[in-house]
Amino acid sequence: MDALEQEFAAKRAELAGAESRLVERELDFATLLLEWRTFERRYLRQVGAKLAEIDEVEAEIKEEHRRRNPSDWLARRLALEARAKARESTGVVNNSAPPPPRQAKTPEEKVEPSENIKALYRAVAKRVHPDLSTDDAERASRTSAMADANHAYLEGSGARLRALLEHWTGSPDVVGEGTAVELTRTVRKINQATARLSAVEAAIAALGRSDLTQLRLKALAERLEGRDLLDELALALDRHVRALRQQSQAARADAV
Amino acid sequence: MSPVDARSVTGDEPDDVAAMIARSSDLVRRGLRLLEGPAVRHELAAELVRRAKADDVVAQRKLGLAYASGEGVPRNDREAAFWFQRSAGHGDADAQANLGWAYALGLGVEKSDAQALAWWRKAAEQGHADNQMELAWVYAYGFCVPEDAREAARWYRRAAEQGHPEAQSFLGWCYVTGRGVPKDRIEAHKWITLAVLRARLWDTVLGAEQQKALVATMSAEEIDEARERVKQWVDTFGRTAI
Repeated sequence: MDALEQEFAAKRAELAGAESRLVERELDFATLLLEWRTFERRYLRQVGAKLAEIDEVEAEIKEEHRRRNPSDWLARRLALEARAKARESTGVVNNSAPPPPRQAKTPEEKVEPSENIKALYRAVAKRVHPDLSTDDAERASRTSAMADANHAYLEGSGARLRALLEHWTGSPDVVGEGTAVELTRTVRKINQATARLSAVEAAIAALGRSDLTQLRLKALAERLEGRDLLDELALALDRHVRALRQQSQAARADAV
Repeated sequence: MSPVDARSVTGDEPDDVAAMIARSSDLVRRGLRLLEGPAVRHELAAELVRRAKADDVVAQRKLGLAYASGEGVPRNDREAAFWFQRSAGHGDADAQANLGWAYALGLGVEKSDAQALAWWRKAAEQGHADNQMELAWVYAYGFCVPEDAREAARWYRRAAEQGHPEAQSFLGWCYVTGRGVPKDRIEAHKWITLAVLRARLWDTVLGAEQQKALVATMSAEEIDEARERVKQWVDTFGRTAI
């Protein structure tokens, strides 16, 4: 084996390692995203909606105060600010992510797609991942195939993953152009896969650091003790909303 | 360009994660704070201070309002003006309007009509109807500036065209009285009708009485024409306006 062939063999082994690491982390990322969004949705519906309601009533109170003090610049500016805040909170709650078709029973727990789905996802990712190919002409179609695979995975659709796998069977990389060309191609794939891997790692870390993840971990700990954190939060906020509504009604009654 | 940048955005991409997290982060932080014990007001203020110091322009503006009103922090006009100034300097339109008031009334800064007007203009020129409305008032009542009915009508119009009910009502009144615009009963009727149609509870709009008085001076043709113009306005701007 000459030096070139030896280097090629080493690079091929390196690529195989990078490929498996990338596919595994893509899978972790997709799973984490599913868990994160599922929890976010439940949080926004149960707790976020109450917070938005609080903002709404607070805006009403400030607007009532403004109405009674038409020449007070501060009353006016505070009312505008409160209204903008209420509009923003309501917008976030109303635009929360649509539910995945398979709702987990306890969303703060791990949403575990079946091993079968995971295996299918790995197989599809290995075949279609745009960073595991050097065919520039195919880049766009591979990117969208990978996005399809992610969606199919998030929705737990084995059928769509299988369809992708079958569709992409006949797209092997061009071979037989000599070792030097193949070596260049292999090195490029390693670089692409490594760059993508660090982007995925960064995204996984950002999700892990997020406040929502903190909240989800607390919810998980509470569930082990048989309590439901989001229910408790919603209940506490309910009391707050009621108190505010009374305050708002009192302010209006005063005005009459 | 790295291969990662070349990807299309699908919403599931690593690059989109920061935006996804940011979208709900305010509501999530409020939930976390609730868990940390009763929402003590000074803790909220502490977070606002932290964000304001990190050059978050919205937090700077809100902190300014907190100091100006004494909500959650002891009232302090100098601090209020300081944070309005920081946020306004970064281009926040609402902070610019607030800073205008600080200069107009000498709250935490040396009173200066020229500075007040300069900041109100900056705010209004950014296009928010509420800020345009305030500038119009200032000209209409000659507050900090020589009274200027034409300039007032010009800014009422800019806010009115965005669907701001108070501005529509004031612009209508300009047409009734001929202040800043030629007297025009049809235009007056149009804007006042639009204002009444769109008024929210807290808006100061001319009520039924004034409208009745105006109608009494108009012919049936004039009223029809005004109604037609209302319809046209709603068809053209009405759907996108506030």
